Amino acid sequence: MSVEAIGLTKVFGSKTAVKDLSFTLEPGVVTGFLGPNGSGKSTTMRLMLGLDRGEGETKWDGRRLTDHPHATKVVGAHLDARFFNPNRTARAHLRMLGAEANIPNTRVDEVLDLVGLTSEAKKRPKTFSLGMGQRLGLAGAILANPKVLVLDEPANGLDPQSIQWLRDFLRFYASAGNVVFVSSHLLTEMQHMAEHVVVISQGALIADEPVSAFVNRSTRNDVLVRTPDRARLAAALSAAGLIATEDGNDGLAVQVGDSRQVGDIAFTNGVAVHELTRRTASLEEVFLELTTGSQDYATGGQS
Amino acid sequence: MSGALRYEWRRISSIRATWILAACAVVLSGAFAFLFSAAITSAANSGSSGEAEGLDVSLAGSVSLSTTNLIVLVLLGTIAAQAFGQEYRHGTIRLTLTEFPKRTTVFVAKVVVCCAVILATFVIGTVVAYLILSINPQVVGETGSAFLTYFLRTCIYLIGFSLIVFAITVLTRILALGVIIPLAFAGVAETLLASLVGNYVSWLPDTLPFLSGSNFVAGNDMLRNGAVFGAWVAVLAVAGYIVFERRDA
Repeated sequence: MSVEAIGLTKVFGSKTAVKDLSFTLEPGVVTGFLGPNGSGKSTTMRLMLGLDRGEGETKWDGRRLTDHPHATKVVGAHLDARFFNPNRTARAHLRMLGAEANIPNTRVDEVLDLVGLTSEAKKRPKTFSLGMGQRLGLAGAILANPKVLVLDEPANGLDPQSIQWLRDFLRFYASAGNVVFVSSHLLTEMQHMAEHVVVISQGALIADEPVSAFVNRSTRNDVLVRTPDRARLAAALSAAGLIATEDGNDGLAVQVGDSRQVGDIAFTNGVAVHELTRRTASLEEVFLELTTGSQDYATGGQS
Repeated sequence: MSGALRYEWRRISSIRATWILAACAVVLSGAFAFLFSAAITSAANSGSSGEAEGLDVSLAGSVSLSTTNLIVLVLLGTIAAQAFGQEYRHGTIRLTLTEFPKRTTVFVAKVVVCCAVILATFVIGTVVAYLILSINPQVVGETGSAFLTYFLRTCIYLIGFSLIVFAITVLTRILALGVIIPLAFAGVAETLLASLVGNYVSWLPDTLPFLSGSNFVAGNDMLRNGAVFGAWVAVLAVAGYIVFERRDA
């Protein structure tokens, strides 16, 4: 199953939260959904699920969600770690969510075990920590084994071990041919988790591509070369049409994709090389580079 | 629809508050019936037999006072208000609407299941009150069909009352207002309006929803009062449905 968001638009009063947003989610990969605070990620997810009323539509395997006889088999969503009645036990909460698809109690127990909440099954979630709330939300989302998972910041409040577990689980879930669409502001984590990213800023699409392609967009992708004869190497690189800027006491940052090209130029010109390193920007660096200035709730130091 | 009904039943039955409210409504119906019965007996014993007969206490009237008084209506109304109020309060409406993207299904399932629970609670309360009051020889019993007619009218009134509570809870998204607004109108505002403004605007009391509803239950000009009450219920329920259908969850 693939999911196609077409022209999603949402206006709150005079503010356009989501602007004509279109993208496609493919099965088999985890797709990360990135954007600064207030960029419209949660609104987009709600629009996709039909929870918010706006323009555009989302096709789930070519059909609207309302046209599927059992939506629970199509999509499982976890949008907030506090979406439960604090006086309903964790087990009863999941039994309620499983009622539509006639999910047996054994599956409820299985899912509770999977997310590590078996010992809390009979407890009321009013005492749950944020991390436990996330686990309960995830349990609800995967209960009916849906073909698509839509998760909004599921790693918030999880400890490092749980985050690693979540990463492994989502990759496993996607590898079974399912669509996994997950937003997160933990960009380092997302770099490990997602193979594809949809990036938005101020409600508009910035990127919809594999993580590797997104990272290659950065101007920070360069080759660092350290040499005792920086001036001569800089001249040689310039003569070869490459842009090199000084980096540290004895280094040059060269805007080139292949470090071998720099090594060859140095060798041809008889310049000694002490270090030759290909530097790749992190997902976080690329994200910040592309979205700086578009943050809705920036602190005083940032426009 | 069956999935939505199952979901709603699990929602309402897995909350302890539902059972506490229902139990309180039944117990209070019985307690009021006992108090009425005791008061009637006391009045009969303290006066002459003629005065006792002059009390002219009907079984249907006594049961009605026991089972549909303001306190019991608060309890039953809270069960109705919880259907939407708790879901909005805790955000679970988004889980519900993700499972059931067709909102009409959710609205209908909530109305059906909650009304069924409220009616079941009312029936049990009525049976309890009936049994307590019917033991008292001073209470005059109606024929079976007369009591049944009264009973059915009360059921219709309760469903209408519940729909108004549903509608106001959906419109305000606040559980407390869903209970308070209808009860404030039913218990205080309409009576005040009728007595203060009714002298100047003679038609006003005839158009107030809960006064009309009470008159309908009492069997006074049933067609007109039933129509007025029904019209209010329909307008508010449709308004609630339209808002529920169109608004962001």
